[in-house]
Amino acid sequence: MIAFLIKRLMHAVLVMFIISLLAFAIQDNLGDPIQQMVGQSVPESEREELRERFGLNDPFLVQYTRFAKNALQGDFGYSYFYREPALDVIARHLPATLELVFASTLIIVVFSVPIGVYSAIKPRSLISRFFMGISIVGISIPVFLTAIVHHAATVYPLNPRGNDGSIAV
Amino acid sequence: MTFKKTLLASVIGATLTGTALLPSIASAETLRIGYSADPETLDIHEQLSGGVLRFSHMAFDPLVRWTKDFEFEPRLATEWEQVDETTMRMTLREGVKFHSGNEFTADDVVWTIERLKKSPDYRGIFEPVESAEAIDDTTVEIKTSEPYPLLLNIATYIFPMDSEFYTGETEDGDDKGEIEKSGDSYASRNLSGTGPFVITDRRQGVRVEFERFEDYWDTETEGNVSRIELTPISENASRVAALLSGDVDFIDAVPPNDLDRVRDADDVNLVEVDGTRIIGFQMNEERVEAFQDARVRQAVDLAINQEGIADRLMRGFANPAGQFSPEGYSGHNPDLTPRYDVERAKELMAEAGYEEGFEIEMIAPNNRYVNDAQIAQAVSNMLARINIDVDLRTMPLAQYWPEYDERESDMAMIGWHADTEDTANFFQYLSFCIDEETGAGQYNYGNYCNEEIDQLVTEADSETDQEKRNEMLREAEAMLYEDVGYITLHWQNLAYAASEGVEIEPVVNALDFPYLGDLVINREDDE
Repeated sequence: MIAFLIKRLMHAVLVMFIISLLAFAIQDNLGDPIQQMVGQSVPESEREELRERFGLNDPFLVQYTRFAKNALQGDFGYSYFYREPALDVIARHLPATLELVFASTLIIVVFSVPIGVYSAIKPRSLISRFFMGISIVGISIPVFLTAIVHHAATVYPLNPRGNDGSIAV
Repeated sequence: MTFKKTLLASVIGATLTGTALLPSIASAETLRIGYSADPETLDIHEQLSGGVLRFSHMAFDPLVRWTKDFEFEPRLATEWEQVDETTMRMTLREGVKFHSGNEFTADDVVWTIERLKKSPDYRGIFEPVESAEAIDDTTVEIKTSEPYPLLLNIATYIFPMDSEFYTGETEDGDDKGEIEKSGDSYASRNLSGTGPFVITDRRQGVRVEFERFEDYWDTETEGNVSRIELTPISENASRVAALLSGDVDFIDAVPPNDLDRVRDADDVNLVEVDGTRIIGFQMNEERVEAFQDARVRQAVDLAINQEGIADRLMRGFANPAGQFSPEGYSGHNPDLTPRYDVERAKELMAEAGYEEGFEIEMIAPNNRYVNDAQIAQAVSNMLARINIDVDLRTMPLAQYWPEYDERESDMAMIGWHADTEDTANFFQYLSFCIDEETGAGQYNYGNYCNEEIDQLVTEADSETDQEKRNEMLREAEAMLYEDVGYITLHWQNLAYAASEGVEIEPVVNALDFPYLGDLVINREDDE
C-alpha cells in the first residue's frame, strides 16, 4: 500500500514538472507581457527597462530555474492581475474547491457506493436497472450542460447575483 | 462545522443575499455598467489605458476636459492665461474637497505634475513640462522648456491627486506615492480624488462599486447617479446580451454586427459617436524597393476604395479618411478626401515600371480594430487589381505586436489614436523619420521618411499662435497626402447603448470617456 502511494506521488511530481515546463515554454506565444502593461505610446527605452526589471531578458533556463526554485519554497510568484501573491489568490479560492470536493465525496460514499454494491449483487433487479439507466444518462450528458441546468433550476432563483465563488455565502 | 450546517447556512445566506439586494436594483439612481474592461489599478498614473482613464473621470477631475466639439471645459482649473512664451498661469477652483476631506490646493497640482513626470506611461507626454509652481493656494504656474502649444491638451491628463493622502510611509515602510508597475503599491489600492464617485467595493476583473461623493464640488450638475456597479464583460456578444436582457443599463463598444439589433430593440437606445482613431496601412520601404517610389504608393492608395470599405464592410460604422486628422482636430484639412481610381492606379504602376506588378506579404491583427481581418482581406483583393499579389497573414493581438515590432513584412495594418487629441501626434509616431534616440517614428513600420514634413510639424509644435500652427499642420497633411506616407482608410466610430431613460447622449464623446458625474437617469417607473 505504501509502495503504491509513493509510486503515485512520484507520478504526480513528474506530471507537475512536465506541465510547468510546458506552461513555461508556451508563455512566449501568449504575447509580450510588457506590451499589455504599458500604453501604446510608451517609448522602447521604458519598455526595455521594465523587461530587465521583470527578468524577461534572461534565457529560458535561467527564468525557469528561478521559477522552480521559488515554487519549491512555496512562492508561486505574483499575480499582476490581482496584484497579490499567486498563493494568496489560490488560498482565497481554496475553500470553495474543498467544499465541492467534500460534498461530492459525501454523495459518493452515502449514495453511489451502496447503490453500486447492490447493483453488483443483484444486477437484474428493477432498482438496479433504474439506477444504471440514470447513470447512463448522467454520463452521457456533458457536465457543462448539467451544470447550467442545475444552476438555472436551483442556484439562480435563490441568488441571481452570484457570490464570491464559495457555496456558503 | 459540519458539512450539513455549512450547506444550511449557504442556502439561508443565498436567500438572504438575493432578497436583500433585489430592491436596490430597482432604485432609480443606480447605474449598472457593462464595460469591456475595468480599471487595471486605482493608481491613475500607473497605466495609460482606456479603463484607467474612464476611471480617472469618475473618481478624479482633470484641470480641464474636452467637450464633444474638442473645446476645453474648465473643471478644477477655472481660468488660464499664457504669461509668457513658456509659462501658463492657471487659477484653480475654490472650495473643492478630496474624498479624504482634505482641501484641494495648488500644492496638489504641483505634486501631481511631478508624479506624472515619474510615471513610465506619462513621462513621454509630460516631457515638454519643465516645472510647476504654486504661487498661492489657488494659482499655479506651469513652465515648459520650449514654447509648447499643447499645454491645455495635456492638462486634460492632469487629475490632481490628494498629495497629503498619498504622502508618507505605509506600515511596511513603502512610500505611499510610489508608482509601481503592476505592483501592490499603496496608490493602486487606496484612493482619494476630487471626483464625483468613491469606490465602495472592488474585485479585480469581477466588479467595481461606486457611490456618489457627498461633498462633490460640482453642485450645478444635473447628474443624479448615486450608485454605480461596473461589471467588466469583455465578450462582445455577452455584453450586448446583458443589456438586452436588462442585467445592465449601459454598455460600451457595441460591435458593428449587433448595431441593427440594438437599434431595433425596445427600451434600448443606441448612441454612435464619430471616433478619432485612424485605421490604415504602412508600406515597408526597407523590404520592397517599389514602395520607395511615390508613384507606386499613390497607386496603392488609388486602388483602395475607402468609401466602399466604410459603407459595406463597416456598415457605415466608420468615416472614410484621406488624412490622419479627423474633423475637429487642429490640422484637419477639408480638401483631403479619399481617392479611388483604379485606372489611374494602373497607369501609375506602368509609369513606375511595375505594370506586371509584384508580390508582397501583409500582416494584420484579427482582434484589435473593428473588422480588422476582413478589412485587410478586402484591401488585398483591391490590390490584386493593380497586380500586387498579397499574401495576407492575420493573427491575434498577442502575436501581432511582437511581429509588428520585427518589421519583417511588406505591409502592415495599424490604428492610431493621438493621446494629445492633436494632429502632430499622428505624424510623430507614424510617419516621422525613425530616430531611436528621440523615439520619433516609433510606429513607422515602413521606414517612410520625408524630412520636409518632419520639419514643418516640428516647427508647428513650438508655434504658440494657434491659427498659424493649424495652417502649418494642414499643410503637412496635404504633403503627406501627396506623398502617400501612410494609407488612410477610416476613422472607426464608437457605439454605446443604454436602456430607456439613461440619458447617455450628452455625456459620451469621441474620447471614449463618458462623463458619468453628469449622467441623468429618468426612469418612467420612478416614484
